[in-house]
Amino acid sequence: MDTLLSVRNLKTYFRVKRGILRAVDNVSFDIKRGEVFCLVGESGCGKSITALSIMRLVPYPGEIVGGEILFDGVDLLKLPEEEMEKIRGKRIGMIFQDPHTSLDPSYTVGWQVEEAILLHRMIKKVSKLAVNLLKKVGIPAAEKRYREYPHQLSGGLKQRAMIGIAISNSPELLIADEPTTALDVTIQAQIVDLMLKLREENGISILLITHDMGLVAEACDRLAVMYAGKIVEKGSVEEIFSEPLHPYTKALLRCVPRPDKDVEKLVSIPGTVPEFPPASGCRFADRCPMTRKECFETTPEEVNMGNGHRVACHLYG
Amino acid sequence: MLGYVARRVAMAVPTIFAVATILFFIVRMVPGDPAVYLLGDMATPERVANLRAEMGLDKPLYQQYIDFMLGVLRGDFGRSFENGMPTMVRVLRAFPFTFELAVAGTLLSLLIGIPLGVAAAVRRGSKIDVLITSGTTIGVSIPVFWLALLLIEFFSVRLGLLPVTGLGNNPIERLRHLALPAFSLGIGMVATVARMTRSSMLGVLGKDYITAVRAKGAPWNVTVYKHGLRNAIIPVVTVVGLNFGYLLGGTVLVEYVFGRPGLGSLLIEAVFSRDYPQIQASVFFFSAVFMAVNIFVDILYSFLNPKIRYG
Repeated sequence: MDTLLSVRNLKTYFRVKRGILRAVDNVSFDIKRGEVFCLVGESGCGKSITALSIMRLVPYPGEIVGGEILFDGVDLLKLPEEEMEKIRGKRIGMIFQDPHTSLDPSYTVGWQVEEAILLHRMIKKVSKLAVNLLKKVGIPAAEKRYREYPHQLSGGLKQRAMIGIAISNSPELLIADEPTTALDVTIQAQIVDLMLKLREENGISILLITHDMGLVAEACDRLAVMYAGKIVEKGSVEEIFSEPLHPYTKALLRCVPRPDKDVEKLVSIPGTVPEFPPASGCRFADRCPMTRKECFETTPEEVNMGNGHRVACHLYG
Repeated sequence: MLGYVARRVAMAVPTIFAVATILFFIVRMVPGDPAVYLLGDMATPERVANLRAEMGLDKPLYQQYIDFMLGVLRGDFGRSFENGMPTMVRVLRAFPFTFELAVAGTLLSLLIGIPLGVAAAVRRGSKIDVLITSGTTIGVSIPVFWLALLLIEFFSVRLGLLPVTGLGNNPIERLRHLALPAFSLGIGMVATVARMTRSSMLGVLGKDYITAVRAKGAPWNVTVYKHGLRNAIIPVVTVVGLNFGYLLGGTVLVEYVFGRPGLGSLLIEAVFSRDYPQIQASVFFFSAVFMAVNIFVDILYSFLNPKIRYG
């Protein structure tokens, strides 16, 4: 499988009053064609900003200050805005966390699907295509839903419509930013199944952003674990789930509730993600149970542990 | 939809009656006797008494009130003390001039205010934003009559570009005559519209669906107008609609300064001469229009906001 997207040393910083917030700091990963790649981590670790950086839609006052985003060999960060507009929605589709707020309340669902198509292609019978798309993403009574407004649809149906919009121009990459977080558990499974079905049928690559380890195990091929703007560990799902190396990954996996075991209390990681981590040293150091002196002094380099399993931790340095 | 309109109209009926009642008593609380005004200070008490009887002012207050309300029900607002013409006829003749002025003022405020608001919102925090925001603060605070005088001084007296008073007798002249009054009337609302558009637009541009539209590949300007303004305009329409009623009230001053005929001039004249039936008819009409505009705005609102239409 060849590489579709290669993010290299991406840095996205936010200039805020209290200083520079390094939301994404030196992040690198590759996504192969037809693969589901997961970006995992707690809230605020920079997963969503990484996704928005790929789309070049980082909100103000954020700014991409360094790195490369090679999409099919072309550095997206060097493209003029008009060229980027031809890639957004056509070659890279994106769905968002909250389907309730991701559709424009003033236009019908059908209109919004058509807009997505017409922004990139001149098609006369666009309404038929739009209805077919709604059918394809499993919206029942698609002809009726086509004419309805977003507020008339349930969360699950809205997210299906969003997926329909995202895949309307058969993109090569689908970025899904916590697509199931705002949905009921039963609907979550349906949405995940739908995305995996699209991967099977269209060979689309998926960048799935989530904090749900269960979802990672179910849907992903490879994953990267992010902490405070940095990737701490990456590798295949099998490798990382069977042999997690970074103390943070281990802690994350311990937090997953086990229905087969009778536990008194849910496990959590003490402390919170630092907003302004120190410039040098490991960012997880103050929450890590296994710190050494060097953890506070030097930033750990990424180490290759074989089979594409890489970890950034002094324990393996 | 039709049921909704009918409901709204039905709800307006009690309000209209309350307005009529309050109006009747307020008018009679104003000091000054219409008969004395018409006949002058030198008139004999007998003549005054005769005229009062003719006007129906000698009857007990409750009887006058009942007569007035029965008249309202029949659509009969009595005749003007001044010249004996049916008061409503005078109102209806004057109204088109006022309506023209209020519409022109509103259009002007939308035409200037919306682009200003959008420009300020899109370039938030920039010099343009600061300029527009502070400029509109001044705009809000300018008294209409003072601005009107300044405009006359500058455009008519110094530059000689625009006429001061009158209406004009062909369409182009008419527009030229409308320019200054409409501007004086609309400038306060430009500020309101611009600030409303700015804040509403800022709220909308921060919404997830704006990012989602950009993620579809829409250029920034398409996103701003098709999705941003489309959603941001809803509260602006409400404010403008409600302000249209106040604008009608504002015409009183503007018409007076520019010597234009209209409801405002008619009303001022009637107040000066204590022409009770004429005041009653004019204010009643103002209130009715105000309420009609409110109902219209609600209907318009439901067209702009699908959630209300189908909710």
